[in-house]
Amino acid sequence: MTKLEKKILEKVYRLETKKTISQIISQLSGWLIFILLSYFFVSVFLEEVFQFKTWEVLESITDDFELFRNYFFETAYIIYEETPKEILFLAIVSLIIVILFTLTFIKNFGKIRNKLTVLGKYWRERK
Amino acid sequence: MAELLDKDIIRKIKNGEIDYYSYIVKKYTTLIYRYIKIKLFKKDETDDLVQNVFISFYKAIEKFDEERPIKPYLFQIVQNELKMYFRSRKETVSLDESIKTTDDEKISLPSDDIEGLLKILPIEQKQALKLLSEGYSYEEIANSLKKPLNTVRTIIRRARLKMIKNYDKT
Repeated sequence: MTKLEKKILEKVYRLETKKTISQIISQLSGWLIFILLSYFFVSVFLEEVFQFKTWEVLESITDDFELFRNYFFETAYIIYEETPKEILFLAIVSLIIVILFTLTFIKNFGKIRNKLTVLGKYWRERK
Repeated sequence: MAELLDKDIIRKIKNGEIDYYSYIVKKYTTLIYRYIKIKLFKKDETDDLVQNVFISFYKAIEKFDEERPIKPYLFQIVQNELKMYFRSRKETVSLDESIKTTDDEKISLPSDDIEGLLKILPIEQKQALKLLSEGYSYEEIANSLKKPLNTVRTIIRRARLKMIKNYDKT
């Protein structure tokens, strides 16, 4: 291999190292941020859901199946009305983003692993 | 080991096995180096340009269609790099520098010689210079010769240069 070819490859490896590291860092931090956000939104949502007054009504009517069947739609509507929609929306969006991040990571896992192996080998040999 | 095809190499690089890029570098460096060297003659600058070409190709490899041949694509990058190189080396005039305009140009030639020099000029140039020496403006000369203003400027500039050249010879 000529000196010029070595120089070219070194530049390529440097470029790829920077690119891969920044890609891993940005993906991981994005993933972590959205995991924390979805945890926060889901916990706030669940906290509000558990405070619903509808549960008490629901408890009393579920004892009697006939009563439950008659008032099913009314109860469902009340639950829907009481649901904090904004937080539910944010929780769903952040969960979808987490899923997308995870799928992208799974899809690119082989590629990133190959890159890291090659880069590790190159920099170890250079030392 | 059987020699790998370019498209297989590209596929492997896209899959993260970037060490295969050395095959491309080895295969095309000499060819590209020679091509650029013919255009530039300078070794250092040729080296830099060759490096830029391969870096640019590497950056574009994700979007590169492996079914396409590499060589024409590489030469397209070479052309762009050369264009950028020559553009960056183009001489520029600083804004502070005073720029001579055609109107300000003054030629001081002895009057006896002027007559002799005027003879060698084509009729059109001679007419334009004559009108100019009579004090007509460029616009007036353009109207008189029924030519666009910029053409008149060019005619006069060429006439002047021709006269200076011939004066230097004598």
